[in-house]
Amino acid sequence: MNLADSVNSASFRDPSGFIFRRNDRLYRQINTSYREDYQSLIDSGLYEKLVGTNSLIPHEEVGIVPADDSVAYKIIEPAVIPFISYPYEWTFTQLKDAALLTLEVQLTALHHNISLKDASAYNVQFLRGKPIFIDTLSFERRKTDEPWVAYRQFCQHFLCPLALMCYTDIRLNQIMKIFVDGVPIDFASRMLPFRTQFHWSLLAHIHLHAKAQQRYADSGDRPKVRRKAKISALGLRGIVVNLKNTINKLHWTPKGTEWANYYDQTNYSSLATDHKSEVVSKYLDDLRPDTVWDLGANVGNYSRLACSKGVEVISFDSDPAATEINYLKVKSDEERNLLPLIVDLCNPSGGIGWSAKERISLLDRAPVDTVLALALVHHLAISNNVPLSMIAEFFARICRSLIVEFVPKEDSQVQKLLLTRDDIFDLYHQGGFESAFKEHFEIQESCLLRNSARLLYKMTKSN
Amino acid sequence: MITRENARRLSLSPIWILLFVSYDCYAYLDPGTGSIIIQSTIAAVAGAAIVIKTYWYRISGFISKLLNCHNDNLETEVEKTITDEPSRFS
Repeated sequence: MNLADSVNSASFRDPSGFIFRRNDRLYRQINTSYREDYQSLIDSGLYEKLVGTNSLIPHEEVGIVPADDSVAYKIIEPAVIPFISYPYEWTFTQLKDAALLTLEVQLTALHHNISLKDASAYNVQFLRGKPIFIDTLSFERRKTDEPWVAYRQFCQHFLCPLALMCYTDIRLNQIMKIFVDGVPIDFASRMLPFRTQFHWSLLAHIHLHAKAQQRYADSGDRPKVRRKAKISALGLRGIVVNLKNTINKLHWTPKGTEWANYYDQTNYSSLATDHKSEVVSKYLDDLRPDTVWDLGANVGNYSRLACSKGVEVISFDSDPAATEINYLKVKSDEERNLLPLIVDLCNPSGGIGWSAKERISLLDRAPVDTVLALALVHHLAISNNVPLSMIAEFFARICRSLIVEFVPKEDSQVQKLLLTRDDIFDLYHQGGFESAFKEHFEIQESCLLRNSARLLYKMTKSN
Repeated sequence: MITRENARRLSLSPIWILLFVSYDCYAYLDPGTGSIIIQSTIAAVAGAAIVIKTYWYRISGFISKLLNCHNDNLETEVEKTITDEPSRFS
């Protein structure tokens, strides 16, 4: 192994190859053990077909020295995904779209007598507003009557969490943080309401599936049973079509959460809102970022302001309904430079999986050029008791420049937060805010929003 | 000549593995025995559903023809059901 190359921390389970980084470029080594399957993918025309429909990440074969010469067949350079996101950060429809993409890829592959050998949700990423399959080494030639080896993984990574979000509680998308290889099927079976036993597909793919797993968990006749299990090509297509229909029928309407109707309930006058947009727009023009993270983005109104300037934007919000509304707009308007994600800033995604590095933390995916933190700091400082100094320090870790709004205590929204608790926030005032942020940032400009007591700041990180 | 030593060597030889082990194709992920069983059961039902659906259109098409209510789009519908090509790739 070439010591100068850094092997991707998530790329170790599949012996077919691995991802590595060299001189700031990303490559994938294909090992000799995967030679035949890779050539089938290319020679059958499947690769071209999937890339043509933007379903599979395109790549180029390159002639560089392999990272591990002893097992190398080829090195490919895949197109780069600018921001890696994970299923526990996706909304209901994002996970549903990723599931449908995986099934469509599988159906197309089956037409070429090729099958997916894994169906992990982590094989899907979002690029230009749409899901895309990123694992070029997931395809293998299908042997006659062979079952779909990735069926269980598909159920664990997609069907179980989607059913739980749909029938039990939308916040259960977070459960993917606990179960790194997807939600165990027996767990999903227990958590789903009894009425799902009368839903034929959920009964079969989840409830009976869980019982079958239990039946054969320690059975001594497992090898014999497995040898007998055969699935025809038609049967396999049937199961994939059935999964597709099942997932298509799962729906969740984004409503009823704290933030879904936020913009109908704000205390801003339209004058203040217009002025705020105007000032944010000017600050963005001054800072000229390539990438923006909009923290507490709600449905993404200010994210879109940044998008209109050609900036790549990630919208973060902890509310699944607001983020879902945001994503649905990305879909309907075919927006290409906005990715909405569910992230609770008081508990941002940490590193999970093997060595806590398989799925990297949000902080390890930073820094970004500019953070937008509008109408956010009072929630962190007052609702969550985070001192202003710690908020400033956090922002300094993730960005190079900052557009931040300070909402003083006299504002009715802050008054609402203080209504049912003691005001223990002596340092929460304009002076306290500025001195906390000056520890890490230089305040370039500030502006009092018209018709309100709120202040907007443009800051750059101190050297 | 088969000596005791040769017999012992032969008995330990990996060639016996070739005779007794079946060639199950194991993937790098364990598909799970229970998952394979339920999968083959669902596949039988779902596969049959596709066949029935396909023939159902043909039967209804035949009846329609008999009743002189031929639907011009019928062939397209039958074709669509048989291939069930995913919409994104059609």
